[in-house]
Amino acid sequence: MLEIEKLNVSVENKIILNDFSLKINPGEVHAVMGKNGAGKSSLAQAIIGNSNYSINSGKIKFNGSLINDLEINERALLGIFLAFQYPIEIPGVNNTYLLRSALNAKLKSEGKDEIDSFDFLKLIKTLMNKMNISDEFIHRSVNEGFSGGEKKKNEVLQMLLLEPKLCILDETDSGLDVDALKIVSNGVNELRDSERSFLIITHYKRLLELIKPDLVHVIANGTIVKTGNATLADELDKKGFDWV
Amino acid sequence: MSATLINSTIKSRELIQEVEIEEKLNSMRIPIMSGRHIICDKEKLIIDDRLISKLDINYDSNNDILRLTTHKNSETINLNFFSIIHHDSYLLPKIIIECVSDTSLFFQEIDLDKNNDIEVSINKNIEFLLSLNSKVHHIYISKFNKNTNIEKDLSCNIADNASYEYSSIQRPLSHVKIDSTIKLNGENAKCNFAEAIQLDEKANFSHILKIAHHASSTISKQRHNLIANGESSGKFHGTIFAEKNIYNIEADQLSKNLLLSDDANIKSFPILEIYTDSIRCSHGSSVGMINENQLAYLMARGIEKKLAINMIIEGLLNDILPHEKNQLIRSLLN
Repeated sequence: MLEIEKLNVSVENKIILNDFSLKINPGEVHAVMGKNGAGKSSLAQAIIGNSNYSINSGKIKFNGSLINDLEINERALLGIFLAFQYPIEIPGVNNTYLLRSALNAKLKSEGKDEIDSFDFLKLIKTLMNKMNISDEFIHRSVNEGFSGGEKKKNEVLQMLLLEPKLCILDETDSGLDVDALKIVSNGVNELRDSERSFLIITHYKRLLELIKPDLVHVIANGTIVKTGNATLADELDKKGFDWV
Repeated sequence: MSATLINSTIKSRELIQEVEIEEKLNSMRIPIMSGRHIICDKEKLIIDDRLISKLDINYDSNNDILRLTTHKNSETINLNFFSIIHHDSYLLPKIIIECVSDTSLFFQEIDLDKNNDIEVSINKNIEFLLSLNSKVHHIYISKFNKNTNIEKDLSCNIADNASYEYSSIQRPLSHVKIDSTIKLNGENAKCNFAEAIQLDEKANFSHILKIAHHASSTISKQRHNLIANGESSGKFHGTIFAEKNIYNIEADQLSKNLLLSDDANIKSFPILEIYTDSIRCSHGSSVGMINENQLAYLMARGIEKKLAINMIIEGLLNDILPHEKNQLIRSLLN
């Protein structure tokens, strides 16, 4: 599904990813761990196509097609979704407007009719119940005044709504209490199937206890320095990152 | 000369169709209240006598002042003031709206125009007098094309425990000049002033606002969102004044401005004139382009760039009237 080959990325002339390579097959869950500043979030931003991240060389392929030059929304419409580490506040834009616009953009790209208000509300309320989100939540401005946990739940709510092919979770576990972590991981697990892939960026193994990864990668200085199975997360939890 | 009082000349349902009414009556302004109305055309002032049950209405023709006064102990009054500007230039009378003690008023002021081919100029002068414990929520919406120019004076005197809330969305393509003075004269008086202005083409907007704290324990909040596109220019000149020998003052002012083109310009002047030490005051002003992080966030959800930019702009407008349910206002906003 996702193939990254020798990717070199920089931000304001500072090299962030260095000959980075990674392959994620359909249905696989990969975890990326590493110290602060190792390049984890930059990897996520480069995959989704944030224009602040310049690709100097290398390839990002999605389902066999090169996507290096695609705009951020074009990549999203292919099925790449990022649950942001720091979801952005947008005053005055209510959550319903965002969610419905995003869903309609997806439906339009698939050649389908836009969803009407009634069906949309029915759908979103079902998903909100799953995420234990109250009704007033969707009428508030996007992420404005949300607690850290609410912001992360909102990201997963969007993910459930859009049903992307590749879900990237950038430290979605940070700022969540134990109960919220379970709700979020249940939401993620519900989406898991043989076709959908996940890239989970985290510092800690607690999320990976609830969402079992197929492979765990350790990233340092913008490249993968170690790969292992789920037990690698346990080892990192005990020993830290320096031993890698 | 006192006001001419005659029975209703048009049905209230006709007021819904503002443009048609305007054409029928050739009137310059139609203030209405819950289906009641005052019609002022060039020759005469016509007042629906049913208004008298809730408001005292007096017209001073010598000074051209229309004075509306709430009745004591009346319920909340909804007063709608629609202007549909069409084909002429004129000077409106000064309007004084007086809320006596313990009354509240919801004042909705809407200025629209038709696509005028000739230049139209309008002067408006509105003054609020808020007595003890009274409350006014003033919503002002305007949408003008390039031929409609407006100059407006707004003033408000607020007594003890009274409050004035102003929420405004304006979309002019023309010349707009507003001078506002809000005086917090009584203890515990409050003012919440919020406006969002969207400018395009060669629009030229200027708002000079002064909020003056003349009494202790007074609170003022200001929020100004200015969005400029095309070759438009906008200026906000906002002063917070607090006199000496008053205490426990709260004053906040925030001016957030967005430039959408290289040829547009915005000038923002946040000014403090503080003569007391007993004040908690904050003010801030920013001018910038579209927030790239907000844009990236929306686009990361598959939303195309143009729509994402519009959503951010609408957000700045909607932020001023987040809970507005009025369909006309919603349609103007969107």
